[in-house]
Amino acid sequence: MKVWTALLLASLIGGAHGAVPSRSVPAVTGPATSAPTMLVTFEQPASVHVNARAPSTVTVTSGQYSQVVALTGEPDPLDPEKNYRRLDDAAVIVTLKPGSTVSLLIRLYVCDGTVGICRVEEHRQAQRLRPGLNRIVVKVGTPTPARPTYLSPRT
Amino acid sequence: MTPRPLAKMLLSFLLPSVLLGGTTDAVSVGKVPPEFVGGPWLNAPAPLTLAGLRGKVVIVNFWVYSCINCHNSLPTLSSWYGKYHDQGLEIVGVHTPEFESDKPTDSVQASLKADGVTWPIVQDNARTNWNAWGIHSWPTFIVIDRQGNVRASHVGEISSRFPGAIPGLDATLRSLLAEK
Repeated sequence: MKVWTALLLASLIGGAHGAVPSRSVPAVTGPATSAPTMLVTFEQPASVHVNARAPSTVTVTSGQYSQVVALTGEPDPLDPEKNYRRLDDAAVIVTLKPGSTVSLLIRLYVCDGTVGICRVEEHRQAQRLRPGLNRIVVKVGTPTPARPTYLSPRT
Repeated sequence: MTPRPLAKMLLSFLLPSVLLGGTTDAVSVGKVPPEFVGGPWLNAPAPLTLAGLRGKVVIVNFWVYSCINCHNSLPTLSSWYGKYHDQGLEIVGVHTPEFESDKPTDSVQASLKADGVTWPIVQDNARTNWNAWGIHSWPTFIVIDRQGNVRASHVGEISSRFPGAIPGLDATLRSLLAEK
């Protein structure tokens, strides 16, 4: 898998709760400090595209702490309209103490190249933060069954 | 036709139908669907109602302009609108966004202009119609006959890329338009 890492620094300085970083700084292979970093990587089948026409995000929450990160990705060279993306990995520095438990919500705007359906796919999991790098692997196209696969009524 | 495109065509036709069959009780074939609610309405001088559309064959298209599979389906809808509008076909787009960026009316209007969409559109930002009709994915197409009953439905892109459902839907439209 081609790995591009985006280091997202929104919460390095306090007061960034809920912020969406406007840009990312690429290319780190690990944390420079012992601050917990969540490295979210994506296994994305060739037929499943992430739609760039609206934001796909990673949200990290714990109590009052909240950080939203907009995902980036390279345009699919086979898509003439440049709407499809292959997601970059995202490294999210979390300004919480190791040992804290965070909730992770990965929300992806997916358009399927096999059946012609667009949907919003959500992956949720809880994670106890370890010092340094915390790796999360997301299989695009296989959301957790706790939430509906397809964009659905919130009932 | 090679096996792979054939399999893709079958999947594009069958899988969405299966999904629809299992998840959209509110708009099952033979039922009268819920009335439209909300707004604003675009490309229409006043809000439309299904009751007011009795006597016409209606395609109700649940979509959002940022959905690529919806966008790719617009030429097929435009083709039907051009061919059959004078015979009694109406199309109503129910624009149901998931993302805040897709909700502003100005953005929707700009997309309609860019894509040459001239049929009536109701903005469903609160997802009221989406929920009432039991819709689960973009794009979804519901075909309603002149008496106001659901007669056919399809979930998934209809385009040159996904042509599998087009002949059947086209035949259904012609058949329903022939009914008086």
